[in-house]
Amino acid sequence: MAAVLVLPLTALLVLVAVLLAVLLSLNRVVSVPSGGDPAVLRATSRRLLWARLAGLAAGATASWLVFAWDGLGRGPMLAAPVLGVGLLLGTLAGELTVPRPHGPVRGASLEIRRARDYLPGFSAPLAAGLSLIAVVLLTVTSVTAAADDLGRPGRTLAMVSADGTVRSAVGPWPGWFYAWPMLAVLAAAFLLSALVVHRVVQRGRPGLDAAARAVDDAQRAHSARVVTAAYGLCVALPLTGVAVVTAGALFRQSDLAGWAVPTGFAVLGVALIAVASAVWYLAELLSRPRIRAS
Amino acid sequence: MIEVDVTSPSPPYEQIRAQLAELIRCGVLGADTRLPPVRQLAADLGLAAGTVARAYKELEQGGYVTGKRGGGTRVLAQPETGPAREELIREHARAYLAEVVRLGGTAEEAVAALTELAAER
Repeated sequence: MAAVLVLPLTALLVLVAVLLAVLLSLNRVVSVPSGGDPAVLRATSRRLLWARLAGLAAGATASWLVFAWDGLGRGPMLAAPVLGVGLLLGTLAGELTVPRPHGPVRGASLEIRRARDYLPGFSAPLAAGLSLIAVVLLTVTSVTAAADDLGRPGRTLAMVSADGTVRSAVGPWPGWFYAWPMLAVLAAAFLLSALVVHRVVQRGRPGLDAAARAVDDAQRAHSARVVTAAYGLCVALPLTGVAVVTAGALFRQSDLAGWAVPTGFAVLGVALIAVASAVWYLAELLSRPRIRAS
Repeated sequence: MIEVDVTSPSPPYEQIRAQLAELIRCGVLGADTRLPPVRQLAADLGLAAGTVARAYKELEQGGYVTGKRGGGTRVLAQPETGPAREELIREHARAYLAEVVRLGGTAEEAVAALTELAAER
């Protein structure tokens, strides 16, 4: 029953993300003064886009392989973060191939560029918040987890009586068995995101005229938005799955623990926030700013 | 803004040092102003980070800036920036006028060219 619902629900959410992306693209217009060297700016734009697409393709392939890796649910949990890591690697490759300033005479302004100048104001704090929720949730589920019937630690939620007898054990439960691979991939994605943002901020400016600077700033902001969205998807999608599985296990233990139902609903709330965030990040990934000469 | 001519006989680090020292002496870069990070300025100029680091080090030795770990490179207070700025502007104007005259121009033509350029900005 649940499997029958997942596919149409996913299709609906992707459709919402596409519509949101169209709206974002229509409203995100960057006006730049006319002038500059359009050939250099177009070349940079093309390189960044193709590198991102190559990263996305590599990420999708790796994600497909990871999806089938583990029959106990770890593969599907890690598929989205692996896709996100591929996109981050592609973005990094694009940023590394941006042409360096060349020519006999080169100029530089004495501005100080910072990551916060380019990171999106809503998406970046949201990603930080989701990361915190994921770490807290996985820590709690790891601490409360028990071994399953085959002795694999951190796979079930067991209700134990005072004399130590296991009264009921339900699984899967996102204990350490699931938490460590997810936390490891999230840590790798976070470090990679920080590296890409550092590169986005520090790479050289292609020109000093007002038009080139405006387009360059728009490209940097878009790259930072892609990085934030890719990292956000790395966190939000598996967090949705973890929260749904946790809530399901809690509801099945409601006969033995009165606190399980309200806790389950609270965790379902986390799942809703995470899925809404995933739709937002997908829309951010699909949207592109329109650069218009004024 | 600073410019580096990589074909100039003066090495790039010296060009950076001289221009920044001039901006500091003139008061364009006031006390406690933070200079761009070495890697960022090097990337913007298409130079090695060591080149910019050397310029910053020489500025530090000259008493123009101070570098602190984690705090970046900041401009130190300079004594009496006003007259130095005026004198530097006059010096550049003198050099420009000399160049115009060398090309067969007049002082009026030099002023007219400057006025035209100023209007474009």
